[in-house]
Parts: sequence; structure tokens; C-alpha cells
Amino acid sequence: MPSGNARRLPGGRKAIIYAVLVHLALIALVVVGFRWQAKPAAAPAKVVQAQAVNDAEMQKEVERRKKLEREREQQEAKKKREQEERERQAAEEKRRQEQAVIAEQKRKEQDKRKAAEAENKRKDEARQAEAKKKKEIEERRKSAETNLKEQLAREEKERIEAKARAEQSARAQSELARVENLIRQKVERNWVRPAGWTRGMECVVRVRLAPTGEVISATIARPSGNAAFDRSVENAVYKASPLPLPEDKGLFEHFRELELRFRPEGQA
Amino acid sequence: MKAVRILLKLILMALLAGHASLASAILTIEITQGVDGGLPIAIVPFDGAGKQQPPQDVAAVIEADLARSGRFTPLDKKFFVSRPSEDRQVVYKDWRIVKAEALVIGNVKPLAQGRWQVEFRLYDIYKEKQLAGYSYVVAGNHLRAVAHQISDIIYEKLTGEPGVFSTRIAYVTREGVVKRFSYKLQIADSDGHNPLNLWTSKEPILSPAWAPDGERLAYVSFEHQRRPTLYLQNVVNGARHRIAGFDGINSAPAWSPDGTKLALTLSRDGNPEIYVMRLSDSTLTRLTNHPAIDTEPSWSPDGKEIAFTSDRGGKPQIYRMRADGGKVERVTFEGEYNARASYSADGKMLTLVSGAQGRYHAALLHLHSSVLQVLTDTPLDESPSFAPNGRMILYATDRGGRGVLASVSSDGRVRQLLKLQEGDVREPAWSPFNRSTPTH
Amino acid sequence: MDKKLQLTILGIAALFLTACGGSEATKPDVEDKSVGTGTSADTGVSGRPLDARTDLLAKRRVYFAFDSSAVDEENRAIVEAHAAYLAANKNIKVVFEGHADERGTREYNLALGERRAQAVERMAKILGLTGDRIKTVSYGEEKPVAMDHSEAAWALNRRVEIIY
Repeated sequence: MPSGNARRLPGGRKAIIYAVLVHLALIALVVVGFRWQAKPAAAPAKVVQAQAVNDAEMQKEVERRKKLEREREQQEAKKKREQEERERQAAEEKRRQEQAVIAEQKRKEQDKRKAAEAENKRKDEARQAEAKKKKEIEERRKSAETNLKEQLAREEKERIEAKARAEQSARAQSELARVENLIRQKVERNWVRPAGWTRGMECVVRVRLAPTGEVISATIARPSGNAAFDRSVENAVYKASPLPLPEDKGLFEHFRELELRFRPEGQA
Repeated sequence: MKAVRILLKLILMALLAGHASLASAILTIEITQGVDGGLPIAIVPFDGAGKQQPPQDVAAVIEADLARSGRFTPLDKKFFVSRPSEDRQVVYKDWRIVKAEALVIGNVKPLAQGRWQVEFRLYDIYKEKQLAGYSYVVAGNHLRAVAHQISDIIYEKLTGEPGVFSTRIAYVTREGVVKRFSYKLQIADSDGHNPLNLWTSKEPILSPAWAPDGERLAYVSFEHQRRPTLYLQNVVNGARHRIAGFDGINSAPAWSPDGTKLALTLSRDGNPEIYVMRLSDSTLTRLTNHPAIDTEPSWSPDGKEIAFTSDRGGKPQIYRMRADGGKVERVTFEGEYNARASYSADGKMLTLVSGAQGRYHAALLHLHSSVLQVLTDTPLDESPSFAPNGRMILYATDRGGRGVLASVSSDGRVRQLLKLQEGDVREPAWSPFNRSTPTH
Repeated sequence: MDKKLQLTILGIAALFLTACGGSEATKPDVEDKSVGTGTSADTGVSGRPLDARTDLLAKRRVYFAFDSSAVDEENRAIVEAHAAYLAANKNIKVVFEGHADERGTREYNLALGERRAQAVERMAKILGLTGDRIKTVSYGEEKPVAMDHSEAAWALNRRVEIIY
């Protein structure tokens, strides 16, 4: 009495319907089976005609018939028992099967569910991961794109600027050189070289300028070893403040931070 | 996509390389020229606080000291925007306007019993901070001494070297007329003030030489038998005695750095040679042995060498020898006449008289380079003497027919006449750093 | 008066005048035609007049070139005269006093003065002077006779004085 192809799992609802139908079918069969069992029990009763037979034979026969009867009853009972047993077993079996089926159904359902869930979960995760990955890739791509865009823009810009600079490089270079000279001259005008300076003395000062040319800081990066000399160098920078700067404010960056290397020449 | 990016980067680098100086590290500017001069310093006249004028203008003494050293250029007061005398009155901006790199302010206040309180402060204008400040209480006759001490402090703070303004000088004066001259051996402040007479004589006095402890002077006097002999005199208590009176010349005393010996010139053996006398027992050791004139010895600061004048080459030139007389070598090769050398305190230079075409100048010989640097342009200079910090040289010269003393900074830039004493002044000798106060 | 005698007197007087000046070691002197050693029109030779010994002894100074202690011919004659005189008068003590002009350094000039005095002493000894009555001393540049800063003054100061 197995119901249809239990391997196929058409889905949850369908399974229930089938289960119900199977149960009904089983129940029907069980009922019908009982009735069927009951009939043969009634059918085989044949009437035996009364004859004069000797009592002993009769007795024997009666006893034999009784015995047979008894045997038949026993057999019938046995059959019945067996039948019942079979039926019970069948019912049992059915029940078991049913239960098994149910259980299996349940299991299957569960498995299905679980699998489905797992699958869903996997799918979700996979989807999420994929989505994430996609997102990352997308972002990277986007940022790379942006970067590249920016870089390209920058490069483009710099190329343009470089080009512009290259075009006016002579002008710019000469402007820078001109301002360098102005700075040098102004510092030299303000540098009081202390007595006893010797050629070979060197003091390097790092200077930071504001866009106005004002000296924000002047620190000795490399001392000469002679305190009076170093002091004179620092003072020279401060006295020369504000330092001259190029008219083109865009060139200020070249002068924002400077190193002045004081290395006296001439007659000591 | 990737390849394009790489290619673009390469192009960019190529372009940038073409402007490497623009895109590279920090811009360096070489500064090689400047104004050779003294540190511009503003010295504000010290406030007097009241009508009572102190007997000395302390700020003026400081200004003269610093100017004379050649290391400072005191700024003209007429440009001062403000005249602070107290710390709270100092406005740094006022001094940046006049491009002062340092500022000195102070005040002198009268106290009871003829004493004075002197205060001063020294400022770094561009660093906007006080470098020194002191307060003194002194008697009126020590105001100059305090001013010199303040000058020493200022000098040392700003140059890193010791100042010499509290040291002294010795010299000889001659007054009177021919055949009736009077000679005096005197000591005075490093600026010529406060002269103190040590010895008076009718006969010439020459070559005073300070002992390293600053307490004694050796010198040549003609008082004994009217010929040149050597004397030693204690500056503190005046005790003196003759230490060399041999036949012939006894002259040109020079102290060893440890003060135990004198190098000197004796011609007792026939011609002037250099000897060393140990003062403890007067034992003599002869160092030179040459028929030429060997005189004017000077000990190196490490005591290992003696420079001297010799005309063994024909004309007077400077030679040097080991302190035991060995290893004589000539040291001057420029000029026709080089004499009377003496070492600087660091042993790297000699000051001497260098002559050519009849003109004689105070000069410096840089020993490691053999460069001879003439310091003056006056034609009759004599007896140059180093200050103990090696930065100034005192010498005798002629001004309007009269002998005077002058100082010149060791770079030759600044020259100053010292306060004129009576008569002709000659034979200056600068004392060492140790200072002793005479009691008589 | 005899013209010759007049000229002779004039000539001698002129000699005395130049001698009192005492500033020259060499004497260009007056040409004394009257003595008869003058220029001959034929040969063009002129002679140097010889000082009388007494005139030499009146000279007590021997002069020197700058930075030198060499006694030249003219001054040698003076030394010779004194040497001879002193040799003849052995009881007289003599001091040779050496000097220098102001240029250069005092100590070196002290030595130079001594060298000059010794040069004169040596020469005198060669020329006959003996005995231990001889002294030399140097004053270097400390005792000039001429005070100004000129070549002429310096020339006068570079000397040895013969003192007795």
C-alpha cells in the first residue's frame, strides 16, 4: 500500500494531501480487509446429512468431525489469529509505514525545510557575499575609477600645467631665479658677519615663510660650531624679513620652506 | 585599463623629470657675502634716577669698550625710538626698527655713603629674550671697574669668548726735553684710564713683560751704570730687584707660560744671544749660538717653542726654535724686516712689526698658513702686544709727532687711540686675565 | 793785504764752518784753489782735500748706513785718528756708545747700537788701541740727537759716540 513515488517531493502542501489520501486509503483497505477476513470465516460452514451409522463409527466420526471441527476451529482460529495477526501486523505495518512515511515525510519535510533553510541560508549568504563582493568590487571599481579619474584629472592637470610651465618655463625659471637673487641680496644686506669668520665656516638655516614673505621661523639645521657666527646668521634672516616673493602667487610653494646656506667668502 | 594607467604614470614622470628642480626637495640659497662689521648693538644711556650724576657714565664706558673691541657697532642714539631703563619698558619692535641685534639697558642709583647701585640687562632682540642681567653695589671710584665687568659679560654672551675689558696694560712714558727726560713705568685699565705709576727714572725703561700671574713685571732699565739691565717688580707690593746685570746688553725679558723662567737677551759672550734664566736660582741656559743678533724671544703658550728675532739671514726676520734651543727654523718670508714677535693665547698667531720700504706696521702672522696680515697703515708702529683673548692688539705708534698707544682688532677693522697720557707713550704690554689689585 | 793770504784765511775759515756743522760724514767741502791742488786745465783731475789730524779728533761721532754696522772709508779716518791718539795716551778711558735711529724695534736697535759700537772698537784695536780702559755700551734708539721723523734726523742718530 505504498502511496505514489515518495521520492519526489513536489512541495509541502502536496505532500500533506498525499499523506491524507494515503491514510484514507490505508484505513479503507484496513476496513475492507477486516470484512474480507470475516467472510471466509462464515462461508465454509457446510451442512452434513444425518445417516445411520453406527454409533461407534458415528462417535468416531463425530469425534473425528469434532476433531476436525476442532482442528478446523483451531485452524480457523489460528487463521483468524494469523489473520488478525497479519492484519495487526499489516495494520501495524501500515501504521509503521504510515508513521515511517509520516516520519519520513516529516523528515523529508524537515530535511526539505532544513535543506531549504540551509539552502536559503546559503543562498542568502552566497547572495550576501556575492552582493558584498559585488559591492566591494563595485566600490573598488568605483574608487579605482574615481582614483583613476582623479589621477587622470591630476595627470591631465599636471600635464596641462607642466605643459604650461614648459611653455612658460623660461619665464618661470627666470622668475624663480630672480626672486632667489632678491632673497639672497636682501639677506646679504642684513648679514653682519662677525669678526674672525673664516672661509670654510658654514651654517645652514631652515626658514619657513608666510605667503606675505614674513619669516615664521628660522631654525639652525646645521650649526657652524661658532656661537657668534650662528647668531649673526639667525639675525640676518630675521632682519631681512619679509623676504621678497614672486608676483605669481602660484609660485609661492617653492619658497614656503627654504634653506639658507651661509658660507662666507671674500676677505676674511 | 591597467596598462593605460602605467603609461600615463610614465608620461607624468617624464614630464616631472624635466622640471626636477621645481618638483624636488627644499630650495637652498647660498649666502656668501655680508657686511663685515660689529654686531649692531643698542646701548641706551643708563638712567640716573634723580639729579645726582654718578661720577662715571657707565653706559659710555661700556659703549667705548665694545666699540674698541671691533666686535660691536654701537648704534647711533639719535635713532632710538624709546629709551627704556627697566625691563618692563622694553618693546622689542622698537629695536627691530633700528636693526639692533642686541640691546643693553640699565640704571645707576645713588645709595648712602657715596655708594651706587648699578643694574643692567642685555637682550637678544630677534629671539626676544633677556640674555643677562645683574645688579651691583659699588663705591663711586669703582664705577668704571663695574662698567668694564658689564662689558666683559656682554662680550662673552654675544661672542662666546672672554672679554678683556677688566684687564690692564703696562707701558712707559717719557716726558721732558732732550738730556732732561723723565721716564715712568705705569699700568692702567685696558682703555688707558686710571694710570698708576710703578717706577720713575731719569734713564730709559724698555720692554715691560707681565708674569702669567699678573702680579709681576720684568723690564729693562738703564738706571744701573747707565746701561741696560733687567729688573723684576711686584705690581702688588712694589718690591723690585735687579735680576740680570751682566756685561753687555741685558734685555728683552719673556716669561715662560708657567711663570718660573724668563727668556732674555744677553750679549755677555760677545754678541746678543738668547738665554733662559730659571728664576728660583738664577741659573742660565744659553739657547742660541750664532754670531748674528738674536733677540726678542717669545714663549709659545704651550711652553714648547720660542719665537725670536734674528738677522742671521742678513736682515731681521722671525725664527722659532724648540724651548731647549734645538730645531731653529725661519718663519717670516715676506717683507724686508720682521721683528718682535709674540704669540696669541691660542698659539696660532704671532703679532710682530713688519717693515718694508721704510714703513713699519703692526702685523699678524697666521702660523698654519704663513699668511702675513698687515694691520695698520701708520709707518712707525712698535711693540704690538696681544690681548689675552687674542682678539685685539695694543701697539705704540706716532700721532702728530707724539708717541701714543692704539689698539686694533685682530681682523684689522677697528682701530682706536687710547686715552693719551702725558708725554710720549711707548712699549705697551697687555696683562694676562689674572688680575691683581695694587695696594700702593 | 796779500791776496793769496786773504784767500787762504777765507779757505780755512770755510773749512772750520763746515766742521762745526758736524752733520756730514763725508765732506764735499770747499774747493781750495789757493792750496794749489785744484783742477789743472790740462788734465781735468781734481783731488780730495785731506783733513788735518786735529780736525778729525774734533769729530766724536762715527755714522752708519741704515741697519748697518759697517764703518766706511770716511769714518774710518776718524776712528784711526782717535785710535792713534788714545794709543799715545794710555791712561785715557774711552767709551764707544752705540745708537740707532728710531725705525724698527727697540730691542733690535739696542743690539744694533751695540754692534756698531763693537765695530768701532774692533777697528780701533786693529789701528793700535789697546788696554782694558775701553768700554762699549748701547743705547739703541733711546738717546737720539735729532728728534724729528725725517731721513736727515735718522741719519744723525745712526752713530757711535767716542767718549773720553
